[in-house]
Parts: sequence; structure tokens; C-alpha cells
Amino acid sequence: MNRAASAALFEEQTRFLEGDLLELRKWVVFNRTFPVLDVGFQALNRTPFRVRMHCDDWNELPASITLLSFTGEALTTLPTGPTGIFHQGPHRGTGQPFVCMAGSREYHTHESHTADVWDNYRLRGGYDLGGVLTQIWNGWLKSKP
Amino acid sequence: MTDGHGGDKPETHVEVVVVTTSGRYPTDGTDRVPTHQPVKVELAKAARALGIVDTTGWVARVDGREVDVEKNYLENGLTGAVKIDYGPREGGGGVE
Repeated sequence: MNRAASAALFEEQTRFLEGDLLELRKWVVFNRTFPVLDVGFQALNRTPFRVRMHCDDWNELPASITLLSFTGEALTTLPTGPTGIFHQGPHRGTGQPFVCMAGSREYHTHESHTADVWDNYRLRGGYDLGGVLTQIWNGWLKSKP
Repeated sequence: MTDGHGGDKPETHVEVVVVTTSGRYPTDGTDRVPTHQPVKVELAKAARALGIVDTTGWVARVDGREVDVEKNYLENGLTGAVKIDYGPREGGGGVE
């Protein structure tokens, strides 16, 4: 996808990460400069968590997602819980734990899911950048603290 | 909150804001909504206004608590100023 078009879509889909939304969800935006969206999650009695989305070629490709501690170190183990979206890996492509959920590049390139192509999702509600981020947040809220 | 006529009458309206990653509805201030109106009505208005094409499987929360969008504000125990956080639930994980 054309880089300028990708950057414009990134801007359009991330520009509302501010104000009421951040306050309600206790999110912190560390970086929102194309092609990186880096957001921290906080909640009472939970270990804070951080999601860095690499959005090069968005939305021709889904975002590649790195999971971090709140201070920015890559996590070697992920939260566990009933949703199953956090996979301890290692992912064959990155060697890291990954988000095992449609909308994550690591999901769509995982050998178990290559048939579940991103094109099936990219224009659906809930699969823009804010939507994917929200889905990960909801999964994190349901994981063990 | 009262209905503007004073006294202890039950509230007839709530002041609602819907917050999503696609924006806030209404853009400024709040929408005055009857307390007996199902929550889903305001969510549908918000989705239309914000250009959200599909909200299948989305969850609405107020103060961190999930609300039943088929029920009205009173049935959900919501009065006064109501700020609804609206967004998609997590997708299913899948790797064996």
C-alpha cells in the first residue's frame, strides 16, 4: 500500500485516542507516530501492560504487535487466562510470544492460521487500529492479573 | 439529578455520552435521553454518527461494568450522567 495512504489511514484511525477515552480506559499513549502506535493499559490491581503496534503497510497488512512491560521491555511471558489471545510462543517469524487473534500479523502468519486471511477482516467493524487495540485490551482485562 | 422541576420526582432522563476509539458521541456535551429507552438506541445513533459500520459482538461498559444494551437505563441502574465505553470484545484465540 502507498505509504502516504497508509499514514493517512493510520492518522484517521488513531486520532481519537485522547480525552474521555484515555481517561475511561486508563490508557496511556506512549507513541502515535506512523507507523507506530504504542499504548499502555492500567487497571486497579493488575500489572500494567503495553502494546506496540507496527503499522507499516496498514491496512494492506495487519499490524505486527509487540507486547511490553509498562516501562518498555519486551515480555518473555504473557498473561494467561480464558481468552487464549496471548500465546507464549515462540512465533516462528519473530521468536517472541504473540497475540493470537485475528487482526495481529503474527496470527495471520502463524502456520495454524494462514488460511484465515486478513482480507476477511480488514474492512469489518472492530478491526481498525482502535478496534484491534480495544480487543487486546478486553483480552488483557480478562486475563489473570 | 431531578427533572428540572425540583422535588423528589424520579429521574426521567439521563445525560449520555458514548465513547469509542472512533470518536465521541455527541461530539460536545451530552445527549439527554429518556431513562426508559433501551441503551442500544443511543449506541446505534452513536455508531451511525461515528461511521462505525458493524458493532456485532461489541460490549458497552459504564464505570467498568458491562451493561445489558437491550435493557433501559433504569434497569441497568444508570442515572444522572452516563458515560458509555463502547468497543469490540476480544477475538477468539486459536493456536493449539
